[in-house]
Parts: sequence; structure tokens; C-alpha cells
Amino acid sequence: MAKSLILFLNFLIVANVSFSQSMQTKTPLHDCFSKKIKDSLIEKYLDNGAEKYSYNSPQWQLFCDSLIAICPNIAKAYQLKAIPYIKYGDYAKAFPLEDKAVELEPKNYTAYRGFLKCIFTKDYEGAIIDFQKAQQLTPNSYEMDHTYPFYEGLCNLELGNYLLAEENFKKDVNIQSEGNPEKLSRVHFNTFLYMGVLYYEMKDNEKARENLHKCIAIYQAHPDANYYLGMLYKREHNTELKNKYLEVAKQSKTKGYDINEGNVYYAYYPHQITLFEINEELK
Amino acid sequence: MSNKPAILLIISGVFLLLSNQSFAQNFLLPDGEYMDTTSAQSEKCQKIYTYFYGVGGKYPENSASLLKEAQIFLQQKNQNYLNSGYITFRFMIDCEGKLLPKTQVLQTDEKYSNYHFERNLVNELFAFLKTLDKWRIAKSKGGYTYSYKAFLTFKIKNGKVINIIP
Repeated sequence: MAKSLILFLNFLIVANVSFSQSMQTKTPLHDCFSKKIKDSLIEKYLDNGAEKYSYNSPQWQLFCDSLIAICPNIAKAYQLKAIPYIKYGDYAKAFPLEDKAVELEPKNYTAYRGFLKCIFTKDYEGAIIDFQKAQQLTPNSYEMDHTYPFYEGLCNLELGNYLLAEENFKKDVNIQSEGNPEKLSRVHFNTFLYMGVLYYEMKDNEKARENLHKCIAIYQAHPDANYYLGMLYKREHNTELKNKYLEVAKQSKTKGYDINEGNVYYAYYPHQITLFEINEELK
Repeated sequence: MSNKPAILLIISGVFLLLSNQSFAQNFLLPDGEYMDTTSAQSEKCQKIYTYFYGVGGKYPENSASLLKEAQIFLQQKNQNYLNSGYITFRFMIDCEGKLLPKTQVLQTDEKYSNYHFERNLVNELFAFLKTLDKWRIAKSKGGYTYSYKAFLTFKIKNGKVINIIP
């Protein structure tokens, strides 16, 4: 009886191994390495599938999972699948998916992962590594409206590496203006904001003032730029100008003006202020 | 003499209640680990909800202000901890802006792998979360108020809170 049982179990194990191998070597229904086929699957399962629903809906996950099951080498499926997790603090689910997207298409997703680390999880060291890699893969490109050195600058600012941050922001300006002083008008107002904040932290009042004014010249109601100008005048014991700029910041915030970054609904940007900080200074 | 068992029972009950508050138990449910599973919502609130990012529902203080408050709170506890990573609490703010008790906890190391921090640190951060009382009331253009799902993550480095998300 015992012998029969052992024989039966052996048979089961052998059958299981053979079955697993046959599953693994099974030819996929689609040629997952054909760009044409990949594009058509993305159109069907993502553009006209998941993205027709809210990313918090079960359908979103179902479409992403279906595409991953059909062709597990499509990076966009992993990136989209991770969206609801990253936006609601489930990093253990989000980052393995982001890592897979980077593994499959490093040129398309390394900077994006760096952006998530910089803005969403405040993993500044990790973000710098990703942006430096992205700069090698796709030099002088942009992620979410900004150059890679811009994000590196934010990270170094938050880490207290001020000289590195200064170098980063100068590179950012150089990329945006293509090294041409006549094209400085192309520079994003938040580049000037963060250069102003950096020099404010470095206690270089003149350079801070110059950059914050450049920011306000483009976006007059910028609440953060006005707040930091107010703080600069506070440091200089100029109560009149301190209150003037803080009042502008308060009015701007109250009217709904913001730092004007697309992902600000999900996470505060570095050094970003709220009405609370303005009111604390006006007390 | 006949009142002695009743008095002992009352004392035991009070002790149990107090000890329960000091050492909050984590609860494992099919969808994750919870600090508190109590479902309670004001009858004034509709049974529909949204997410914080749809209603401008990030806590209305920036990360630096919240961090200062958290650090002061933790200093009072005067405990030292080790390890690094993220401790996230996910919860609901009801239509009156009140934080509801049911709270999920998620913990990862610095590389975003599942992890467990010292229980006391998690409990202290949960206690800090419960002190936050300025959550926004989410309102539609028509004046209807909504409940919303929100979260707060504490970024930990060598046992110290160094940043707060979002």
C-alpha cells in the first residue's frame, strides 16, 4: 500500500513538472516583440481600455492585467497599473511595477520613476540616481515640464547640498534657453522660484531677491514666490515689505493660485507653502 | 465584603481599557493590516466618497510644518528607534472633516519592500495622526459635502521621522 502511494505521488510530481514545462514553452498567441502588434495591443487594452475608466476602478486593473498576461513586455501596462497605488501611498505595490517598466523601457521610464521618487516619496537620493541615469539615456530631455537637472536641483536643495543644487539649476536654465542668453524668456517660472529659494536658504539675499522677482515677473500671483520674498524681507527686518509680499501670497492662495505644477493635487512640492504657513507669519 | 468582586471587576475593566489605549493592536483583514477597524460615520454623511486629491484634501499644512509638529510630539515620548523606510496610514475624512477611526497601516523599507517597524514607533505615529484636526471639509459646487479617502506617510531614517507625505 505504502509503495503504491509513493509511486502515485511520484507520478503526480512528474506530471506536474511536465505540465509546467509545457506551459512555459507554449507559443504566445501574439508576437510580443513586433512593434506593430504591441502598438495595437496598447491601443486596445490601454488607450481604449483602461484609460476609458477611472484609475481607481477595477476595470483599470483588469485591462492592465489582461495586457500583461498577453504580452508581459509592455512597459506602459506596468506604469499605468501603478498609478492608483502611488497616488494613495501603497509604495510596496507601486514600485515593483515602476521598476518593471524601467527594466523594459529604461529610456521612457527612468526619469518618470525619478520624478515619483522626488515628488511623491521624497526619496531624494534615489531620484538623483534615476535622473543622472536618464540624462545618459536621453540627454537634455524633459519630465513633467522640467529638465532632469531641475529635479536634481530640487533633491539637492532638500538634502542641503546647496552648491550641487546651484549647479543643477544653472544647467536647467542652460538647457531651457539652449545656452542662448536671448532665449532666457523660455525659462520656467518655477526654475526661478527654486533658485530664489535655494539662495534664500544659502542666505544670499541679493541672488534670492533677483530670482524671486524674475519668477514674479512671469507669474505675478505666484503665492510661493511672494511668500519667500516676504520671508527675505523679514530676515532684513523690513516689516513693511515683509507684510506686503505675505499679503499678496495670502490673497493669491485664497483666490486659488498655486505653484502651478500638474501633480500638486497628490503631493506637496519641496518647500511649497500653504495658507497655514502664510498666516503663521502674519500673526 | 459582598461588594469586593464588583469593585475588582470595575478596576480590571478600567485597567483593560487603559492598556488597550496604550498598546493599540494591529488587526489583519483580507485587504491588509489595520490599526483600528472601527467603522463609524456620521449619519449626516452620504455613503459616497472620493479621494483627497479630487477635493484639495491634502492636510492644509506643508510637509515642513507637519514634520516639526511630529518631531515635537515624538520628542515628548523620548524613545529611540532604528531602521528606515515608510510608515503609511490610510483613512477616511468624513463629510464634517473628522478623521474616522478605521485606519490601514502599510510599512515598507527604503527600497519599498514590505517591512515592519517597531510596534511602539507605529503606535506613536498613529497617536500623532489622531491629533491632526484641521482636515478640510470636501464640498461640491452645489454645496454638498463629501467624505474622502486620505493618507499620511512618515518617511523614517534611522528611526527618526525626516519627511511627511503627501
